Amino acid sequence: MLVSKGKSVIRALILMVSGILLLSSCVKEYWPDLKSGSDNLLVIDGKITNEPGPYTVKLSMSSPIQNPEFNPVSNAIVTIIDENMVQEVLTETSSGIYQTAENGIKGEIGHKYKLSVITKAGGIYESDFEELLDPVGVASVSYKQEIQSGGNANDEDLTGFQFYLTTEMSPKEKNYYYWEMHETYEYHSAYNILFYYDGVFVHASPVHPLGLPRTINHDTLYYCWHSGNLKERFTYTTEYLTVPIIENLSLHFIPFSDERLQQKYSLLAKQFTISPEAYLFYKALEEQNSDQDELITTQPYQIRGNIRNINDSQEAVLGFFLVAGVADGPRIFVKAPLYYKLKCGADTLTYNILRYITTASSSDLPLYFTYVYFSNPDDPMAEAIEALALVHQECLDCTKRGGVPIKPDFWE
Amino acid sequence: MAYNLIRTSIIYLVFGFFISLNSPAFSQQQIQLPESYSNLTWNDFVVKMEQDFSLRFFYLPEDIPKLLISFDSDSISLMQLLNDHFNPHNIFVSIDRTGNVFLIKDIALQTSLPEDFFQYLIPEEEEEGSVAGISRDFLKTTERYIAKTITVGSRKKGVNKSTATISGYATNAKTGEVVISATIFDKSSGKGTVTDVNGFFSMTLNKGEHILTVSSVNIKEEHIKVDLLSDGELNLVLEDKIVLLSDVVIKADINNKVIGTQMGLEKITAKSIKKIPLVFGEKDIFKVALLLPGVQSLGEGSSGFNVRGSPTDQNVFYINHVPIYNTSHVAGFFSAFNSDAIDEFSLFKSNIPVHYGGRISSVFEIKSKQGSNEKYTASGGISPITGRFIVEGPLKKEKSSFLIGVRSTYSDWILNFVKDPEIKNSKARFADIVTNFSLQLKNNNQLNVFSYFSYDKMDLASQTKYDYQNLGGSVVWKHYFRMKNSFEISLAHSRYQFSEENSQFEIASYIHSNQLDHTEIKAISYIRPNEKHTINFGVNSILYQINRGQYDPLTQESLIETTDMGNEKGIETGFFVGDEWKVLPQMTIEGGIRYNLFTYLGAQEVFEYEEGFPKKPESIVDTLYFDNFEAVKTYGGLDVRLAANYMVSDRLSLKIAYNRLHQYIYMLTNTIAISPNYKWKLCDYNTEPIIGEQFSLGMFTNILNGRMVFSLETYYKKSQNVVEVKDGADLFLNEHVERSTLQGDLDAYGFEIMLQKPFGDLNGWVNYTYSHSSVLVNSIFKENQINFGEPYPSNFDKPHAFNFVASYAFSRRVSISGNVVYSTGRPITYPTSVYYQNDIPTLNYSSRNAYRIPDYFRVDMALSIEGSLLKRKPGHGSWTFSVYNILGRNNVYSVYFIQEDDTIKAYKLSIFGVPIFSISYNIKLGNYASE
Repeated sequence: MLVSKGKSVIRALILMVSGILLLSSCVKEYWPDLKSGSDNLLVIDGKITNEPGPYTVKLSMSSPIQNPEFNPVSNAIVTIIDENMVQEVLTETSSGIYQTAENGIKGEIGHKYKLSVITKAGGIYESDFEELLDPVGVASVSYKQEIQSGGNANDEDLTGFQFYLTTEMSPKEKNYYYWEMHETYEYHSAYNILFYYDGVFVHASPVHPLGLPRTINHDTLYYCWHSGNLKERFTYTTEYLTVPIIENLSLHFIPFSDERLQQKYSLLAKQFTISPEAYLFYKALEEQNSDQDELITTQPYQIRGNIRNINDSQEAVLGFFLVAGVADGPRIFVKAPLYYKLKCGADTLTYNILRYITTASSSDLPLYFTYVYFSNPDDPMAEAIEALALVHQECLDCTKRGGVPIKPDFWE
Repeated sequence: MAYNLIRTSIIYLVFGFFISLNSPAFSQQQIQLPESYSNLTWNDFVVKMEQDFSLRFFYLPEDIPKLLISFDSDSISLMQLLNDHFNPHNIFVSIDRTGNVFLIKDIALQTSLPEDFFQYLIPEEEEEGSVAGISRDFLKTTERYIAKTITVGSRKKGVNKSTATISGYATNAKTGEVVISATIFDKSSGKGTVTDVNGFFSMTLNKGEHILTVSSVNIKEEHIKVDLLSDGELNLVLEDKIVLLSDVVIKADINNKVIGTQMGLEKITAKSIKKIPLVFGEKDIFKVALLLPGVQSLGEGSSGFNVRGSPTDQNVFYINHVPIYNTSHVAGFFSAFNSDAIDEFSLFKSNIPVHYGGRISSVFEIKSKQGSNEKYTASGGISPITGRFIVEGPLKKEKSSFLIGVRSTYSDWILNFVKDPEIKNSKARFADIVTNFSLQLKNNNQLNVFSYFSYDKMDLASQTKYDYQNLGGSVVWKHYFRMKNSFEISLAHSRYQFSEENSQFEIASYIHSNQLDHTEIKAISYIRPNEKHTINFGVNSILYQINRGQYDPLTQESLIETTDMGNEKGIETGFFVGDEWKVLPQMTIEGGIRYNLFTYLGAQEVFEYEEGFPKKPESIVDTLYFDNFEAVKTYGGLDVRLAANYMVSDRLSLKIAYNRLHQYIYMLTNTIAISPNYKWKLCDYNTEPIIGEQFSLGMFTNILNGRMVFSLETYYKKSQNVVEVKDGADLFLNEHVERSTLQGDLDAYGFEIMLQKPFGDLNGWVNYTYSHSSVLVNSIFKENQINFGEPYPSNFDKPHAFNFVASYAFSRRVSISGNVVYSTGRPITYPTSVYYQNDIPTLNYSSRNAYRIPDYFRVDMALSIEGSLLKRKPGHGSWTFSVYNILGRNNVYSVYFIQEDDTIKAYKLSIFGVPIFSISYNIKLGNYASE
């Protein structure tokens, strides 16, 4: 909040001087020489909430920033301990990912929990006991059409939806929140598939041009749903507010040009009621990962979480074991404005399909085919011609774009 | 030309009553006239006599009857001739030893007295031959006599001595103001001296004739022939220099640097920066200061200076005794001082005068212009950003003057044409006004009344609005005593007001304002018990009142809680005494001590924390309550100043200095570049004063026959209790700052090499600085460490810096100038690894400032064209075309990393990535040479 919009001062000034002539970019992509620069630090990250488990704790080593990857740390003994001496050792379900049992420990409001990790190398890491706070509910999540500037000086302004959240009134004066945004969106392929070739022809269209039986439903490649957590953090506190309620907190912004607003978008906000210490951690991460593009910034630093090596306090341990009460916001659905166009070029086949297939290398397979209609650019009034086309996989098979062709239960 | 008897003679007349009427004549009376004259008028005769025999005639014109002087004997004496002509008219003639001829009606004047008579009765400055108490009229007359000789002292007093000391004041003929740092140089002996803050100088020379060259930054160089008979006074009334194109870029006087005891002193006049190319064509003394050795800033557009590796809050800025707490417009893009209204500024970065205390790194002493006391005039200018206007003139001719200077932005309407909503809704406006009234009062008194106002309004995308202003004024009364002493008392008040409207978050939109009041009284005396010592002593006292302000909801929708951050008060008093002692003709020692007392005053509620433990709510052991103006805590501290100059030869001097200072106020900000919403905070119960020490060595020499001056200075600095903000601490609504700050040590060292060519068609300077600055904040408690208790480079640590500034005049009307600036990139903290926190790729940063941004390099050019050189014209205009960053180099201001989806991207941000062209036009009444 203390950070000013310094960049716009510069732009404003340059413009004051030169009118619109000098709209040169002040921001360029650049990769500095980080020298040896990669440190290899242990990351322990997980949470327990009042929602039923299983709860997950992930152990990994940090990676060089040029290629971020999850470097799992396996074979550790990971234990979640309730202060009432109930505890559960988590099972490594896949490498570096440790989970409680389906019917195992359950987070109870008012209880205190801590995490203990013993690595294969023998390091003992612990967090302090922290109380699972009574969650405050989300009153509403809403959105509004807005115009926002693109990140860089010469980016165009974007029209889109800005999302907002309002909490319920808390019974307590000081509350600290962290939000996760779970988003789901429906999206469609650019074209209906006719058939594809994967060593053999597979026909998908209900009407087969050659009268062959259909082997798959083309819909399964056309309609997809994508679910995931928004990779942005949101934090806020009622510490300085007269009423312990947060109204219309700005969440994320989705421009209409974004794929998520192709068909229908749904948002579920998960509101974590957290301790002041956890708030400091998440807020620092939020600021350090988003506000560095300004003229006037705070000094970045290594943000350490609440887990320590009990034998070596100097060792840096990244990540956090969050103990929090969580409440889900009302799920909202947003009908897309249908501005989004999936950019999909199609190569109309000007020669024999068979010849094309036989010359394709195996790594190009499968090859997807559809009918496209195209107009003669020299004669726009003429009737569009239907033609067989070879299309990029992602344009015909929506699963290639990260989603699944299965409609979620909650989908309206 | 003869002098009327007027004032001087009255004393002689009075004496005449006491002394015997019959007296023997002296040697001068024996002047034998070599040729015959016929029918000369009295006036012609006087002229001839004064020319041929170095005589001066004193008489009342109405006494002299109309007569023609004739004689033809070649053996007649002057005395005889005059007696022959005047005795019949009852006019008596007397001639003294030094050739003064008195013609007085009815009274014969005795020109030689009993030996002991003068000792007791005649005030020293009235003795024959002395030019003490010289008035401007007198000197103007004597200017024509400069080919002749000004006699200083008397033979009688000089008996049995081979040397004599000449001393006096230098004043500006136009404004009556004292001229500081003028050099008085005797070419024959190679000796020289520099006028002090009172314009006083003193130097010891062999008796006899000398030609003194008087020069200074802003004044016309003069050559004065002096016949030194004994110790005596010579007061200099100096004319302003008319700046010719071929003349100046920088005018730190060449002799000055070598001769004075001062080290680490940079002096720049506003006139001299006229040609230096600057961004947006805006003349700015601070941007020029950044081209000097040892002065750095974080980057373009960042506010404040880092002088010799110190944070910005260790500098103080005084303009005519008024301290200014925010010295920049638009958060650092421009300085808050209108260069047109500034005469000169001095930057003390090593030897801080003992009468200044309270800031440990440097003092920027800015002198505003004084209005002309001769005629009304006006000047103005326009650049892409601002319009400027100055009007000045006499209040009472030749006695007092006024000057009013106004500057304001005018161009932010352009922003309305921009489509980008963030910019369209942004605004940046500023203005400043300077007024200066200067009054010469009777009996050596001078009064100066000055005021300063600056104002800034910034609106950033309608989300954050900053509004800040400085408002200050000073009254200075100065009195000169006869015996080379002076006394000055000043009263100054400065107020800095800041307010902020923040509507980034509707529910937490707030309005906040805070204010600092600085009230200062200072009394200082300069006395010179003898020619070897110049002593100054005095006291100053500052009352700081800080209203940390209140946060209020900005709108109905805002839920922000009204929070009053409270007030704080402190009083800082310093008692100081200093002496400049000429130990040997080649060696001067300057020493001073200053005792500071700082008392943090109530009303205050103060927490006492467990000693030695991190300050947090859990470690509070007691809460103390103090009434209004009750002393909460008092800190005493002894400041030391020591400096010595040894002249190895006339052209080479070695200097050494040690300084120890205390500081009781600091800037509270947690950003790398100073954020516009920084706050000032006093040292208090839980925050100790900052102590600074600096040791420096220097070598100064004139080379190439004095055409260039070369200097090498090296320093080591240590500051204790420097306030640093804890990692991640939020200062917003932070009532207990002590819990978010830590105090550590700052170490800095380096050397500065500078070569200057102040004169000629081609002039300028080149300098190189090597420096190092690092901070250490350590504790046995992890939460009281920064950077894990390891030392880290300070944000402005730039080891190598190179500046080249040059100007070349093709003719009086056309000149070009350029800058070349290079420095190592500033330190920066980069991420060194990435990890997944809650499945979000997250950056893990290196130790603080472990990396550097790419090096900085910039070239600027400017072309100045003056209007016609016609003498008679109503106004004179000049154009300056400048290109800042002519290479269009994308100098990096910062590098940052952002997580975008699943990858990390790095960007560099530059501020002026393109050449910035600008045109400015200046106009003034009168011709090219008009002031």
